[in-house]
Amino acid sequence: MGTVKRIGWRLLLMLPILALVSVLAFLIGVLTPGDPIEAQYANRFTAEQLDQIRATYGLDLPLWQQYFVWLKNVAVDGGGISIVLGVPVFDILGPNFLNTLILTLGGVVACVVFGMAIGATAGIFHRTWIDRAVMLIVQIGSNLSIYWFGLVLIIVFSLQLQWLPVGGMQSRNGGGFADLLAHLVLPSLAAGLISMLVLARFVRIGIIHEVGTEHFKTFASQGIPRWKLYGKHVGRNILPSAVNITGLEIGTLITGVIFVESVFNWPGIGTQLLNAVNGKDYPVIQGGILLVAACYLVVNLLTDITVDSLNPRLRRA
Amino acid sequence: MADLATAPKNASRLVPLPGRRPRTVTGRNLQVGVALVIIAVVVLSSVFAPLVAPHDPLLSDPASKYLPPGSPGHLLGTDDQGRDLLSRIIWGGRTSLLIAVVAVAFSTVVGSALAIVAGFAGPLLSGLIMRTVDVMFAFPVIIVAVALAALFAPGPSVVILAIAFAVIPYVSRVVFAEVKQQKGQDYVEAAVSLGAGHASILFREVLPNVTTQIIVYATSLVGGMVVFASSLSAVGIGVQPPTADWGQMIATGARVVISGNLYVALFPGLMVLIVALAFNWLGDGLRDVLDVRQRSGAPSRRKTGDAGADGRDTPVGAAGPDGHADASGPAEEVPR
Amino acid sequence: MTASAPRPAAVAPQPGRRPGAAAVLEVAGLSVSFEPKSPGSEVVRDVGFTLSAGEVLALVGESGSGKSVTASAILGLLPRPAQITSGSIRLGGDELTGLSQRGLSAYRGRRLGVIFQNPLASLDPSFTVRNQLGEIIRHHRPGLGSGARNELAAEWLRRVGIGDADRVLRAYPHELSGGMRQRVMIALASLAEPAVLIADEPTTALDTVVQRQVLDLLHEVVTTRDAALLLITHDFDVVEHMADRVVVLRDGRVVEAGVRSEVLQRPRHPYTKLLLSSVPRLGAAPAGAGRGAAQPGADAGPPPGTGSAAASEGNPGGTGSADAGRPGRVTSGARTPLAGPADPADLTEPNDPAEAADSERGELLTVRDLTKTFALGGLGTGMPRREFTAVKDVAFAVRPGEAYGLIGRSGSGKSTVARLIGGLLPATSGSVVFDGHQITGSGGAALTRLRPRFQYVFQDATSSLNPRLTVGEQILRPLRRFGLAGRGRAAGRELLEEKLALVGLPAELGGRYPHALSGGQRQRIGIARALALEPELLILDEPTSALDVSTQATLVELLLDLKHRLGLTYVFIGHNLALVEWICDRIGVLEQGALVDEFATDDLYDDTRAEETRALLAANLSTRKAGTP
Repeated sequence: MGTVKRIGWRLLLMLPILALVSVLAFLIGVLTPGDPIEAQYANRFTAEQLDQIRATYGLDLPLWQQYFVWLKNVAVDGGGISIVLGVPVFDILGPNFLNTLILTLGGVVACVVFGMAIGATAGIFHRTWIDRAVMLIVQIGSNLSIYWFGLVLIIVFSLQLQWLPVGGMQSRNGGGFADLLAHLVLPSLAAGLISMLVLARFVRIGIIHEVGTEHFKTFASQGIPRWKLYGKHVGRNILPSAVNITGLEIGTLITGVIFVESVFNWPGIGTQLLNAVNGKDYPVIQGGILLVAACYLVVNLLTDITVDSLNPRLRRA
Repeated sequence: MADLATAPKNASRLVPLPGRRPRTVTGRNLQVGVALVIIAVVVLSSVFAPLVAPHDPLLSDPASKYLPPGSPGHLLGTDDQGRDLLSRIIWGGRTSLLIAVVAVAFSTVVGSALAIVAGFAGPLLSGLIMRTVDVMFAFPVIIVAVALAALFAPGPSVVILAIAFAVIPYVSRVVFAEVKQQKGQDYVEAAVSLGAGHASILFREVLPNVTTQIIVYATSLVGGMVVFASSLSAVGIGVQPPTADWGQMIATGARVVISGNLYVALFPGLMVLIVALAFNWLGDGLRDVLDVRQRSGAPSRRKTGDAGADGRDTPVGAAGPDGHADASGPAEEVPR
Repeated sequence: MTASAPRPAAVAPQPGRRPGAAAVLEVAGLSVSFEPKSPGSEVVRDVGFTLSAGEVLALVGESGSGKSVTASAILGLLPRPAQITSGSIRLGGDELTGLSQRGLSAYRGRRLGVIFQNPLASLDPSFTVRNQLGEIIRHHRPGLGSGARNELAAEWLRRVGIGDADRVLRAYPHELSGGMRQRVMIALASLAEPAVLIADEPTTALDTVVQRQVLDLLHEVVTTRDAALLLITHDFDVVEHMADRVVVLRDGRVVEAGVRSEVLQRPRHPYTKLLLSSVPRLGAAPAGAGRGAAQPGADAGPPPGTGSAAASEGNPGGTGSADAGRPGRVTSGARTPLAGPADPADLTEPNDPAEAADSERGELLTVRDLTKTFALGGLGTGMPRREFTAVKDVAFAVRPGEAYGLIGRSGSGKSTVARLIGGLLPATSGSVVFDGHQITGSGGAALTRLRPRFQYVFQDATSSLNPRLTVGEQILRPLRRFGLAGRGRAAGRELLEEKLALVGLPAELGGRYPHALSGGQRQRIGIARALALEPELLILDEPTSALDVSTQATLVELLLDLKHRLGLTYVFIGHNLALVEWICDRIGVLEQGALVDEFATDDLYDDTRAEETRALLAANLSTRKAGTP
């Protein structure tokens, strides 16, 4: 099967998932107890006026029609109108979404860089005290609450050492790229924590496995230096699964990002979503869920394609 | 005579030889002992919280705000409303542990059932279940939690359901892989040949081989879920104030960190970490005690069917006698 | 191609050390331990030998003998906890022990090459052959340009008998066959023209036909360059075929060493004698306990019609009149009517005229046009769906009291046939009839009632036993299922003792879990469990292939003895011709799922044998000795 065909299949498989998520997101708006319109406007309008408002939101139609009206709203009209703020949902989520994307990217970088480094250290020094020490740290790290870890980072690096800013995305008087980076360091570390440790364990086990393989021994027995063996044979053989894991970890990472936004006051989509939950602003919740789910699926697709292209068995099949 | 071949190799695996092994074994025992003590203390003090806690966890006292740890009457100090931190941590254990244990128990039962059904069903049903699980597997849990919080009001039930969504795919995958592996063993075919029916094979042959694995896995999950639940509560979609809950306490503490009162958030966070580690260690210890890997994971030579590969002797440079120590794979990680 | 040519004449014209040949590898007093701090824990103890240029030295031993650890020690590739505790390893006069990895790397490849056991795994799956050979060449001869590197690699591939070197260079390892990969591996290890080549079970994972080609090639590559070969093996056939001198290891110690002909023909140590007597040889069953002695009614051959006599008597427990009066049948008293299905008369009544004819012809098992097709790939796997026919129109018949052998190389479908006749796999088409009853197509209760009468013994005894149940429970559970054992504990214990005694195991093993048993014991349990139901037919799927030779020999003797005592019928699956010849009365040869030849064992050397059979014979390393009639 050709690469194009495989990607086509994957795209096709994405559609039902996206449809399912959209139905679920839509149902959130319908199934919630209480009438959001009434909750928001009852004190200001008469019953007829409320019905009119319902009609503008399409809430008087049968359920399946409401779904398509809602889908159209999402696709064409910027995700509907926020009940609380009265502006199109995507106008609210848009800028925040970009901020979340920046933080997620920071998380991925932290995950890959530190995950690889930690895993490689432990794997290369397997069966020594270095491995044991690193793995103890990994075990402790894996049991840290991201929220609390972020807090500890703030206490240590911002409040005590005063090396990095406490929170937010920019200094009060603005600032350039360096300023953004400084603000990005701690949240990225916190957001990527769990994923980087998962990746580290994978890399470690991958290295231990590869070093035990006969092909590793083949090249070792020919006197090829260790660093070359690790760099070429081990590295190339664990790469596909490392990429795969990183891709799978995007979901965890997004969860981490949203926790972290809350700790660091990062003006992202997570903060918006959590506010919307408290304010029962359903259009925003629905739009946000759909947006994140779609992004997640796209990332997954990209990961799959990358992993496939790294597999010699598929490349030539 | 028959022993001649395998004796030396097996001996090093089955009978702990003097020297290397005992050290690790005592190390493990110590770890499990510590874990059991921690869990016992936390569970007992949560159960008997009304008797153990020195103060009412909800009683605020504006006169004694931000008392530092070690203050008379307040061993761990007080928070922004003058509530006793120790008492709140003891009471908080109730909510936090209960949520995690209930959620994990529920997910384990559902996840295992799904996996076992998938393992024994035809390809169509099996495929449907496992593909659904795949989709759930890496999906961002937070999105589900937000959706649930929007549907129901934020609270413990949201946390439990979110955990279930997060954990069921993991449990299913682990158990499914185990069931598949067991089903591939010849003893299942042997049972067929010896006249066993489907029910007998499932309940009397395969299930005994996967239950310990399930128990061990569930145990190690509890810790992680205490952590995850605390994060959900901290961002406001879990347990709501003023109920004492570790995550809730961390969030409260986070607001006063800027003013220099660090310990309000530090203590509950440390508690979460310690309890989570204890459950992890207990899981590891159980794995060793119940010997899951060694008994069920015997390497099979039958993979190639006809191959005359007698894989005799350890191949040159193969791993030593305890190469199985690294079996716990990252597939057993769960988001926090 | 040189591989199939007869072994080069250069082979040790004068076995043993050639006069004047320098010792290239000297190992003395070598001890290795996985727990260096505890004395007495050595897995290799005081091992010593020397290897001269142009010589092949075989290091022979069963599993756990320390032969591979010795090789790892020489290479400096011991796994981390293991250490050399004493002794010296000198390569061309230079001491290797105590050298750092960096120090050792000067010797690796250039002076010391290795070929590993598993050709499927010894090349890196992620790189092409060109890339991998190129890496080795660049390492040893840094000055060479890429064109010259390619040329050298291609030249070596041609030297190891690969005709289309260009294609192989471009290929990834998974695109090559096992034998091909081992050739590439030999080229890779020889590229730097090392003085010593170590081969660790280089052909264990290969088919017999390929095995011989690879061994001959290895011999040629080594001897033409006047290099030395240290061959690690468990297989005395390989030793006999290749070695100039032999070192026999047991439990990490050298028990015997000497020139090949001396050791093989006049072994001094009892262990060596035992090992040698255990090796199945074509045309000569070891220890004189071949099938001839154990075959029921050997003098007359299995008389046709005996099976139907037993069957029409409505006596499924009996196994034919041929040994009805045999005094040696110890368990004949134990065969109560319980042994059969609930209603013997109902079951033994042939229900189809054609099948009735089978029983009349005296066939216990009749296989007709048996075909099995597997579907691969399909929806959701990312691979196009295609079908693979593992077994194609196979037909044969087994008479009561007979041992029928099915032989073939890996992938020939022999295990699939075994599973089909064992009722473990549904057939795609064709039929398997056991004593007048359809096995194929019949399911549920009817098949279950029939099951006690034909039983299966698996290749991998470890996997065939449930790790969570005691051995006793595993034997008794089926007995209870078929109402052959009471629920009482005392009665169960007695029954268990009897069943274990049948396979020569003490009763107390019944309380153990499988992991507390040795490989040989596990396989005996597998046999005891199958025999407990008192079957007439035993399907033996390579029951000894995972065992050491000496264990294999005792197990085969047990099987022959059981067949004789209980009047059993065997279908024996195997890949080792000598072993199958030892056990079986008739042999069927499978090739790519089809039965290509079938003959009485005595006709094995007939000129009328099919090409595939002769190929198997030719590949057998010990054929020369057997001497064709």
